[in-house]
Amino acid sequence: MLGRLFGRREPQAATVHVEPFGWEFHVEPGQTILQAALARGLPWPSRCRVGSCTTCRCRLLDGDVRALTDTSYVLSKEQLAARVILACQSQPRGPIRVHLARTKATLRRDADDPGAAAADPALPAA
Amino acid sequence: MTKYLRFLGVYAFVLATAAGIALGGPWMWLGIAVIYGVMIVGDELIGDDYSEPAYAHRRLLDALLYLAVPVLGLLCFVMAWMAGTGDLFGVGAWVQANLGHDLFAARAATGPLHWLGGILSAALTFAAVGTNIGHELTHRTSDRGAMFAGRWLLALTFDAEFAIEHVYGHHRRLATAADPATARRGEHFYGFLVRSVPGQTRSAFHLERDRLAKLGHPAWSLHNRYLRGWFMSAGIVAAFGAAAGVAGVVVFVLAGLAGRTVLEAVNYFEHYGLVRDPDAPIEPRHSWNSNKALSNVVLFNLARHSHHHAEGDAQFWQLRSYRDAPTLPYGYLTCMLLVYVVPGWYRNRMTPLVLDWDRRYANATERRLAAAANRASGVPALQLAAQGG
Repeated sequence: MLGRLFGRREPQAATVHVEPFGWEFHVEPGQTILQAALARGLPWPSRCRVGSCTTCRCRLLDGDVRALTDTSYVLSKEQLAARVILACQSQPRGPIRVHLARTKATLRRDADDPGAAAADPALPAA
Repeated sequence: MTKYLRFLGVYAFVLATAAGIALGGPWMWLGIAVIYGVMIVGDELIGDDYSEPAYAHRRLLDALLYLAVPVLGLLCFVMAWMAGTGDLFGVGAWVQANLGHDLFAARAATGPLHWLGGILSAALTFAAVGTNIGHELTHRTSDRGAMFAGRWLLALTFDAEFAIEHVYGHHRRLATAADPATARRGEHFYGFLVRSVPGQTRSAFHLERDRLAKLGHPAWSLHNRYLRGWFMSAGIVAAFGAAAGVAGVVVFVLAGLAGRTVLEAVNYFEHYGLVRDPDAPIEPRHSWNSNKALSNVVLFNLARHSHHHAEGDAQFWQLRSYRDAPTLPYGYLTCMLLVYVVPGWYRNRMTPLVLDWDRRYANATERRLAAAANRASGVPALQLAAQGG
């Protein structure tokens, strides 16, 4: 919450560490997490890139991000409380660590398996 | 520098509209005549432009967008002056003394049929400049200044809620049955219009209500951006009322509502008949694209629509041509005029293009969805194709 007060601070280049894959990459100032990940050829799932479909969602474990869209339109109350963010709409403020539940390869399997979708993988186990 | 300044062209259309209204009488039709005439002929003569220049001066590009606010403000002032009875801010006297034009005589020579032209011209201008630039600015959801200016521009057509529905609704549900702003196969423009306007309004309200519920705010409060959008439009109506009485309100409300239908005409042909598996990514093939040079210059590359939906975070000057994407048969204003005047003809004109889309662009899932859409379309040629396939 305090991060909001400093919302006007310019985003800085930062390192993103992605669990459980152990990926680590650099995000340039003004870049989003997704842009940086795709530029490195990582199989980060994404669709709309305007912060509406939530395909690229991940959970913020450490650090802070600047959100470019109002994620409260598209994420559930539980996801918001669990610090779920949208990679396509997040610029890191300093180094961050996130948890990504799915890759491009597993996305299609989720869609075919309603059970997997119901147990929202971007959420921590209750 | 030309590659920047060419985007000023659209403002000439606003000035033509404002000048026509100020000249009064039959001149009131000047704006709509010039806009349709120049665009339809120009798109045919000039043809396509596939160039993708690099731009270094972002502030200049932004200035070209924000210029819409004062220029449309000027247009609104001219409309209010001409609809009123007195001499608003003494402008009539000043114009007579300094420019030699008698606004009072122009007003006296203007009847209801003249005003029809003025209202249609203003409506087209509100949409081409206000809605279009409002669209570009309200995609910048993290920029408060852009959201503020963009929502006021959209409020001219009673559609500040577009900033909610378009980004969080249309871009997510594009080319699926759940999207009120995607025209179905066989649907003609006026059928689409009466479905899409209430559909988008409902969607915007629900998106906002659900957002407030998640944050623990009451739906009926000033936290509600949907309601605040309507207050913005109400504020403009009140300003017209204060400046020009009932006539001012009537002129603005009609222009705003007619302007809203222009957006729907564009929505109609941008995605007509296209289908997508809701679980699959949005690709360039899910929009009808156009690289007509004039349409893109005047509309800040809106016609490069395939890229806009495939990568919604791209700014207008970054949009690529995607020359292999499904392409509209004509430029934007030509499609618009056809959609308004001969909606059934335009729909039939699209039938071979839609069938070609099924063959050349659709994946296996989309072919199944397309066959179902063809059967339900009510268009014999499409139904026949569904049987054959």
